[in-house]
Amino acid sequence: MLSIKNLHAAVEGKEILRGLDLEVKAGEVHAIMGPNGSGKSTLAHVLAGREGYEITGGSVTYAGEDLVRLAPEERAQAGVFLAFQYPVELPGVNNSVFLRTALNAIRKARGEPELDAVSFLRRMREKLALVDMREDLLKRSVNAGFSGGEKKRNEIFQMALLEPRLAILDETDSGLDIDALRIVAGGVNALRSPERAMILVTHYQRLLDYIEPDFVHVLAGGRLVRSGDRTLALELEEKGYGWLTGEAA
Amino acid sequence: MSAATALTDAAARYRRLIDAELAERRDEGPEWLCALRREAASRFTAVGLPTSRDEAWRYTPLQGLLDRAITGTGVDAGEPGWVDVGELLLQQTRVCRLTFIDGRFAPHLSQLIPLGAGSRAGSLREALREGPRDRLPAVEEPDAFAAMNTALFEDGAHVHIAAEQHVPVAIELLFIASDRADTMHHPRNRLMLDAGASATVIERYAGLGDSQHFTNAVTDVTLGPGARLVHLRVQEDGAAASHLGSVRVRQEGDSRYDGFVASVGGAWSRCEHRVEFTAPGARFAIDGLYLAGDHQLVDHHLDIRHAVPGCASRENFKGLLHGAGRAVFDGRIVVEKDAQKTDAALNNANLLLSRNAEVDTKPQLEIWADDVKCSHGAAVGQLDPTQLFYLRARGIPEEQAREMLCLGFAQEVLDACPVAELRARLEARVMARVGASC
Repeated sequence: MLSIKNLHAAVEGKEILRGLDLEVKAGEVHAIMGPNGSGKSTLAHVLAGREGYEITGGSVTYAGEDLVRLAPEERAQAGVFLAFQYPVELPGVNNSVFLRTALNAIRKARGEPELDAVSFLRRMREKLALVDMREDLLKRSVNAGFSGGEKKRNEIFQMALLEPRLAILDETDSGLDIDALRIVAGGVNALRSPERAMILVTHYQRLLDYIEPDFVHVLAGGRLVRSGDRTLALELEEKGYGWLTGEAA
Repeated sequence: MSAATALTDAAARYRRLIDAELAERRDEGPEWLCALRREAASRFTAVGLPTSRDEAWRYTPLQGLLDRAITGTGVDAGEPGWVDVGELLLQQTRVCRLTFIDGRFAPHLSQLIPLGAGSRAGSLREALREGPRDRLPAVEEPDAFAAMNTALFEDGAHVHIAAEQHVPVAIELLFIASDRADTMHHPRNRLMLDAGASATVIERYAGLGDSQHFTNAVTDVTLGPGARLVHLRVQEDGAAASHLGSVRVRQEGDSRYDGFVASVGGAWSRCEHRVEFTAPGARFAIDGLYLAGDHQLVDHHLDIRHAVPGCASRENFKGLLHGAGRAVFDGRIVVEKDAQKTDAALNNANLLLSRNAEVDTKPQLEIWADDVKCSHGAAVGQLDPTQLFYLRARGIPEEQAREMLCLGFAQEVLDACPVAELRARLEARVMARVGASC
């Protein structure tokens, strides 16, 4: 589904990713771990198409297409979803209007009919239960005045609603207490399916206690320096990143 | 020709117009009113047209307005009918409507509803013909345009709500400029709420065509003790119009004024609010939205005077500018020495959608008392790329994402508009305007 080959990317002229390779197949869950500043969030943003992240080499192929050439909205319409580390507040933009606009934009791109208000509401209610989110949050402005936990839940709720094929979760566990983490992880687990791939970007092993990855990769110095199964995460928990980042340098 | 000569020239030209109009209307109305009009004409010349040296006019060039060949008030042409104004009417809101065409009351386009014992909403001209002169407040006109309005006003609304009466429907004052070119109109409104009364008044200005008319409106508001007025003022004039509107509010103790202003039309427009409190406990609040694009200048001017203790004022204006649009915001709150426990907050935020858009914003606080709570702020910014990316990352095309953010910016102010149908109209306006420029 996703094939990243020798990816180089720079932010403000500074090269952050230096030859990253990654293969992700449908149904797989990959965890990408690494110390601060290793390029984890850069990878997430590059995949979503954020402006200012310049690709200086290599290729990213998604579902047989050159992902790099697509605008952010085209990537989303093609089924790529980024759960933001810092979900953005949109004062004055009503949450349910936002969700309906997004869902219908994606449906339209897929050649599906737009959802009317009633079926949209039914679908929203169904997905709200998944992340234990209160319905009144839908009447408010997007993320404005939401607590940290509510914002992260809103991300997973959007993911449930938009049903992406490739979900990238950027530090979804950061800033969550244990109860919120359980709810968020429960939502993510419910969305695992043979057709859907996920990339979890995380600093801590903690998240992986709740969402079991098929593969764990360590990102250091802009490259994946080690890959393995989930036992690698446990090893990192025990030893820290030092023994691997040393190798990269 | 120098700017000063042009100004003297324009003042002389306007004075000739005023004199000609007054001569023509010699026999209209009671003698005291004719005398008042003549006094106002002299006052117009004595005060003189504002120049860029006047602080209140510093960023608002008058040139475009003064260069126009205004020929008169333009009476007696074919009157528009329902068909012509249909698009402007509120369909779902029950209103008591007074319609004015080119400043003149048009009973055939109005819809008067009895308001209750002792209350009245009708033509000011009729009210003055039959009633006492206090139906016009005795004020020495502070500036030339207000003086010109007093000298020349054709008509306007006279709304008087008797003590403790609560008007259940909104009173709509609809001012429509016909498509006759180069005319000027001077609507004059008088809104009086006696003690404990409450009402909603919608004041709207619209044009039927793209004529270059000049509207010079004055609205005097007096709120008795404990009275409450919800006052909406919406200017959606034609693209070539000039519009000057002045709202003068005088509030007695414990009265409330809740205002909403939207200025979205016209080539040159300016809206002024002057507020005075006469006793403690009064509260003035206003939310405002303005749009300006190519060939548009929009100006808002607030002058809030706290002279007595324990009053509150809150002003929140937002501007959306695109193309080569220009805006001016000049808000001034004065808290005098005796006005202890004043609570005042003044805010202005502007969103610039193009490099050629320009805004001059000047919120000012002048505080002479020492026990007050006052704040003011101004912001000028562009669309936030992070917000834009967030929307696009959810599949929303860039242009639509921009529109959503612009509407979101305006929404906070639009939400303050208590008439749903008017709010929806304005939302559509915002979308159409930013849609064309995003």
